[in-house]
Amino acid sequence: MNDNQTREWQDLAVKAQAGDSEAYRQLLTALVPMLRRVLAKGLARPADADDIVQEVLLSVHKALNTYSPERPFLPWLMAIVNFRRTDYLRQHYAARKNVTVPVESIELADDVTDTAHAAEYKDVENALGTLPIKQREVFEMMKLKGLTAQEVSNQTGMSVSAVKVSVHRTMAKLKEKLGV
Amino acid sequence: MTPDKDINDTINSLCCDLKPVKPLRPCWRSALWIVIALCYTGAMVMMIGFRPQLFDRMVNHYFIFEIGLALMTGMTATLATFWLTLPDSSRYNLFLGVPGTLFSVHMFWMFDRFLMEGVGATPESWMMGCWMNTALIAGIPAAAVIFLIRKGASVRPCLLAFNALLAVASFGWIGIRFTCPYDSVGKAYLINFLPFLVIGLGAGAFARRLFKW
Repeated sequence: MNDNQTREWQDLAVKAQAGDSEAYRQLLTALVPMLRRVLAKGLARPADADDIVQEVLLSVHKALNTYSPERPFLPWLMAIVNFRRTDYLRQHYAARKNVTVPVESIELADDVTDTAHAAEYKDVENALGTLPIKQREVFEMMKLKGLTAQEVSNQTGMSVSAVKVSVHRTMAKLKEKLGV
Repeated sequence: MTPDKDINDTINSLCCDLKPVKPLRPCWRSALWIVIALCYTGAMVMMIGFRPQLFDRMVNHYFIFEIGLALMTGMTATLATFWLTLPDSSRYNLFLGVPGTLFSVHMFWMFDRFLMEGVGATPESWMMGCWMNTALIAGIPAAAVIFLIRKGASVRPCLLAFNALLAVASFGWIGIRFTCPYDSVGKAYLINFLPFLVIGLGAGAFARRLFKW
């Protein structure tokens, strides 16, 4: 904004104080883009700027009698802008709106995955795929499904000690394949 | 409704609602309030009655200094109060420190007197002090300052409340010194001045709501 523009606003403000509604409309309309620009800079969510612009316009209206025609217009306006911005942010943070998110805006994944370890799980899966079917089934029952050696023995017909040996060998093979 | 349409609607309604306004003149308002406060305090002092030996006190350097300091504090605080009703009051920042500084000098003076003279005799009952006259002397000026301030639009309501309190308290305290026959630190400050501070602190807590605009 240049000197001519601020002088023009000053003239419009003086006319508005005299009750010239057309000058007032021109003034408020001219202020909106500047207010948006100034306010959006200091806000985490630029969309909030429009709310504060409205507040500032209402405040300019209420405080129009406090503008002194012989003083520059911009410092008067910016004092109101800063006051309203601080007020808005105070209420915003007091209501903890900065840490709450509307439920409808939350995006949930279709299935729960541990993305941080997804690649490692894939490696384990591939290594298991290289094992004989019987050995893999025993391993999965005991280590992935959480069955005891006795339960695995009952289901597979192997002896308990054979189950334990199988799982132990599978673990060794997997470690070797995964380079752990 | 889009933000642009919202804002256009706001502008339309504000333009329809526009009425001619006279620019606020803080200096004139300050002068008006000082005249109200001085006239009212003077009238109340005459109604309550002058303290005994007032003319003896009028030649006492301590008394004159204290009254002069309170008067200066009151007048500067009044000016600061009404300047603070303007949003762009920051241009007076240099001056806005003056009332607080004068108040600090007054408090330092009281502390110095306390060290030299001690607290002095205090009334047996708090209610026996002259401070009941305080409400009588300060009531109307306090109401007048609140009424005049509410025409403005302060962006620093707490500082405004502090200065308004200082202005009311200073003139009220001058009135008390002319009617109350006690000059000790205990009476002149603790009994007569402390209630102003307590009321002021309470009012300060509500300053943001009181001067909401």
